[in-house]
Amino acid sequence: MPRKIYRQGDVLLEQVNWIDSEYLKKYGEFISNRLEIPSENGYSHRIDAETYRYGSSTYIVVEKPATLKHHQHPEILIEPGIYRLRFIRDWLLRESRPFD
Amino acid sequence: MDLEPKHVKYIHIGFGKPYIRSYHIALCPKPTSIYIRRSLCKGYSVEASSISHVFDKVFRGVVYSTPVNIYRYSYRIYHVYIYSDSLWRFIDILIDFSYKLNRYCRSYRCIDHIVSNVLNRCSDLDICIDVVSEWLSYIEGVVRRRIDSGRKALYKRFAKKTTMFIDKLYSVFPDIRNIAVFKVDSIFYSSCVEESINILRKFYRDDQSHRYAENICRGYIAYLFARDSIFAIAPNNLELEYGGNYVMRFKDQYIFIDGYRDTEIYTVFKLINTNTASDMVNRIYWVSILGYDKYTNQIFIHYVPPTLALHSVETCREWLMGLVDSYGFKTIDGYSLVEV
Repeated sequence: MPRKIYRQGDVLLEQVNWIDSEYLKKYGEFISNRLEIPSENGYSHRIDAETYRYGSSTYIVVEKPATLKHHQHPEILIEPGIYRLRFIRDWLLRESRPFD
Repeated sequence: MDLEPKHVKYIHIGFGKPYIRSYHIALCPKPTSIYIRRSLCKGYSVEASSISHVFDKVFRGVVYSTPVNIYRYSYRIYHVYIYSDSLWRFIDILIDFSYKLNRYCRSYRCIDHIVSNVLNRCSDLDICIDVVSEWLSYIEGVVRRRIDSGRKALYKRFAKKTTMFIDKLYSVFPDIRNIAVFKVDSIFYSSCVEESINILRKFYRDDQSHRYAENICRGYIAYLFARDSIFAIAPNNLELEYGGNYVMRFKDQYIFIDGYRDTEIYTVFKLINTNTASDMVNRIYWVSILGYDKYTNQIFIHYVPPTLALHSVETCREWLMGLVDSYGFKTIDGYSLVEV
């Protein structure tokens, strides 16, 4: 089955299949029961799901269908699974390397 | 090249192999391998895959048979010759010829035809230099014409698409016809960064302003930004002009439209900033996606790598989402994307 990728504005939730929830709960750092990402316009993207930090990424564990909400965007129903939080990237925001 | 032939007596040519070992050309005071082994000779290396076929054929045909020493070192076979101005110049010109012949010819048949013509006319080294030079200037002329026609074709494409989509751009972004331009005076990197941050801070978070400023100041280029309205940050001497078959230009930096997509969620335009002169695109400075989000009623601009200059708007959008790499190849297989 294809992996799900959800985009709501600048926020992306990418389903990952290389990690399971038991492993994440054991080795990841539990952050909250809710993921909340503030936007620049004062509103935030919200979803009720266990949020973990593992390595340099944030993951959410969606155990039953949950809704990703934002004041300005339509809601998205997120199917059960483990998702990595990502954002829209920008070439001009890339890490600049020092001059040679 | 800063080499001093007067102190040098021997030319060491280390023959490499394509994709395995580069060629090494060096000037040494002795014909033995010791100077090469200890890196005491002045020289340079050349990628074997770019030159070996032509270089070997011509060199073998002209001077290969008379080395004063042959030795093997570092996966190369070195041939040593007594220095002469003619030989040194011949090697130099032959390397250039080998490189450019690969760009000129599209088949081995063409390469072999020119190489055999050169060899047939090479009775001695000096004549051979003239023959190779003659071919070289012919090849350079043809390659230059081909490059120019490619640049013209690129200009035509951008100008055509801009003409095609400019009315749509004006209808979605009416204020693009009269944008604010913030000028950066400083030509020095650190003060340019400082100046740009001061401008960007009014619109973006500190860390974001900092990143933008660092990349902006790496070139002498105008950039567009979109918050409540569209604005530009440009070096001080670049005046903004509108007109013709481009969206706007800052001196020789022409901003074109190269794509458009409209869905129920968003409208996006692919913008390209190029160095353009005499109806030819000489360089691509940046590629961006300028868009309007219909749900949030917000405008945005995101930059994508310049390597995506010829890719579709959709591929550029996929890059923003991390679904393709900088060359437009998929990085994630089998996914279904749900967007709002």
